Amino acid sequence: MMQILLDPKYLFTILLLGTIVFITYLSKRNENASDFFVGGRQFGWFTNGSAIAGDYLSAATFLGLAGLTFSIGYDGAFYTFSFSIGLTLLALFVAGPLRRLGAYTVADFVAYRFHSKRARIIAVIVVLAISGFYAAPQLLGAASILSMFFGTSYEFGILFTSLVMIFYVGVGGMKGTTLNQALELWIRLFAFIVMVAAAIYGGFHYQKILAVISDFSGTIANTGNYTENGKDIVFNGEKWYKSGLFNPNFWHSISMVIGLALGVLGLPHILLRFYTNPNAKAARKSAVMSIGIASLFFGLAVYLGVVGRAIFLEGNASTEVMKNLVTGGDNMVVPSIATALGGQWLLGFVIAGAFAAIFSNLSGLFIASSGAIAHDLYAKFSKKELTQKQRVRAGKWAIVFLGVFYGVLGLLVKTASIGHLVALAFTVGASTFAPIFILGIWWRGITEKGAIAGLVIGLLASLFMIFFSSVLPEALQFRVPGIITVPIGFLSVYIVSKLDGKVPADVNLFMRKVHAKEEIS
Amino acid sequence: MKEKEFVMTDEPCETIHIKELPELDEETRYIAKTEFRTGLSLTIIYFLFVLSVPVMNWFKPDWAFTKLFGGMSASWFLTTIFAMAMAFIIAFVHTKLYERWERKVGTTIQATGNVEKNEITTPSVENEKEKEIVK
Repeated sequence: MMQILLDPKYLFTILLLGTIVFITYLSKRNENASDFFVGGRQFGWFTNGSAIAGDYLSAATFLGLAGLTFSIGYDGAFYTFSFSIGLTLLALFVAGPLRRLGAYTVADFVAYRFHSKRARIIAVIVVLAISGFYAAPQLLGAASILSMFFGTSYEFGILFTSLVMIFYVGVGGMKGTTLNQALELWIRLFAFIVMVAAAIYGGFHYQKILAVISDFSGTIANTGNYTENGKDIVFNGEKWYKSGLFNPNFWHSISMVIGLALGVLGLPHILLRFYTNPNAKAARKSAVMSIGIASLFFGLAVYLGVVGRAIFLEGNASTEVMKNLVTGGDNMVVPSIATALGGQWLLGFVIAGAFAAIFSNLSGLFIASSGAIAHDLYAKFSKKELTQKQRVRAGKWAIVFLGVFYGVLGLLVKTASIGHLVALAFTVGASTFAPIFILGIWWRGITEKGAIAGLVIGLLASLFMIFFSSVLPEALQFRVPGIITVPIGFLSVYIVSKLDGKVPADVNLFMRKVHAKEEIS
Repeated sequence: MKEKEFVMTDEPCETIHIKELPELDEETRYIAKTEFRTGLSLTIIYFLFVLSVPVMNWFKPDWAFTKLFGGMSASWFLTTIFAMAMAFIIAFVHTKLYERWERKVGTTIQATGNVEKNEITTPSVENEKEKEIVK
């Protein structure tokens, strides 16, 4: 028993879980709905900026981006580049006005802007769709790590992670979630920095290893033992170094930029974060801080992916590392690099970092979706007036429901790619909420019918392009179909609003609320 | 007299045809315009850079992937290092510009001592250009 506890991967994971329990216990007092859903709007820019970055940098970022760079080279770096754009757009156009409105949930914005219960219900459906796409791959990541490093079954991994989340978010609410997210962000960032330092110390200088990889052509030594056909893997460094392994042409690259950049503007768990700031100024500063952290993180992720490829091409790593790099898939590249660079201690730290990423992101999704169910559906459509305690209790029951719902989704995506599923969540966000938030904040002409049409058509177009795009001509089949679905979302809102023309009579007051200086609004 | 405030409710409210909608009050229009103009200018600069990367990759690949120092090419450098700094710089500049603008507005409030009839509509006596934009 003692031997197991001293194993770094157990030690760091238990330390992480213990810290989560401690913080959750300290912040368990959630007396009213504001405490539970938006943490009493008390978090300053540093805590909230860390939490936004924590929300954004999910398992897909911690494990996926380095893995994508490892396997598809420059296109993996371009994937990362596309992910890095969205938070800046959010800071420029949405963060401040959203905070000035001062609501509880994403659906609140839609419902209050148009004074529409119908719009609220549609917004809740979209929130649950995006959260589902986003949560399932996080659970997949957690279950894969548990399975690979702790020997548990995939199903146990899903159950365990769901239970941890139900406790974590159900007891701590937004307060506990924010503090845990902030802490977890620094754990995984530190893990990346340690890995990068170890890589540089080991002689893996960026420009040097890029040159080695791009010049490599032929078979990779010591890989044949782990491939299905028993032959060493063939690798073409020049192809890896250039665009084309994932995005076959220019338009696919542009589609990826559009889908991932605008997708952030439609992610409910990110948008919700701006309600937790005390004012719009803090909301803006939070956004800037989160962009700084995320940018650093993205840069490190790509570098580590390149380091992983260099280690793999050398073929001198331990049999365990070589085996994992061949058979573990993209998501196991970061743990493999950690083992190669720093042995079991660094691996243990990285596993804790990966759990931190998963818990942090999942908790944000749980809070956003529980708000959608408890606040937007139950409290708003309940015939009786609910007390604050009843609202909090409804939020907690919603979290239990979501634990089951996300758990089932997690079981269904066992063989999917984390990075790709998350990209699909971004596509839905970019085609639904992004048009509503941008046009809703900056254009008085948007109408209730326009907003509903935008949400419904944007959602259906995204789902069609995700699940049924194979029926379209090849030129219209995109891996990240933002180039098709985002214009459809924006045009639906614009055209239907123009045809309808009936805007809420208090739209000028709304504009004053979200744009005026805070002492005025 | 207390001005009318936006009421956050789902309850249906009256609608009005967009053509009959009164103009936004000057101060809100000024603030929204300034905020949007700042955001849009920075977005245009940012997206000129963002879109130049795939354009370069696909239409000038020899130039984009020529090794400049070690194995680092223009594309690898712009995509993995410069872009990350750029995302932060654009957001940082936006926040700084907004804070400077807020301070300027605040100074005008103090100078005129008039908060109800908003001072933002006349940002500063010296700045005739801005007054023109408001009008």
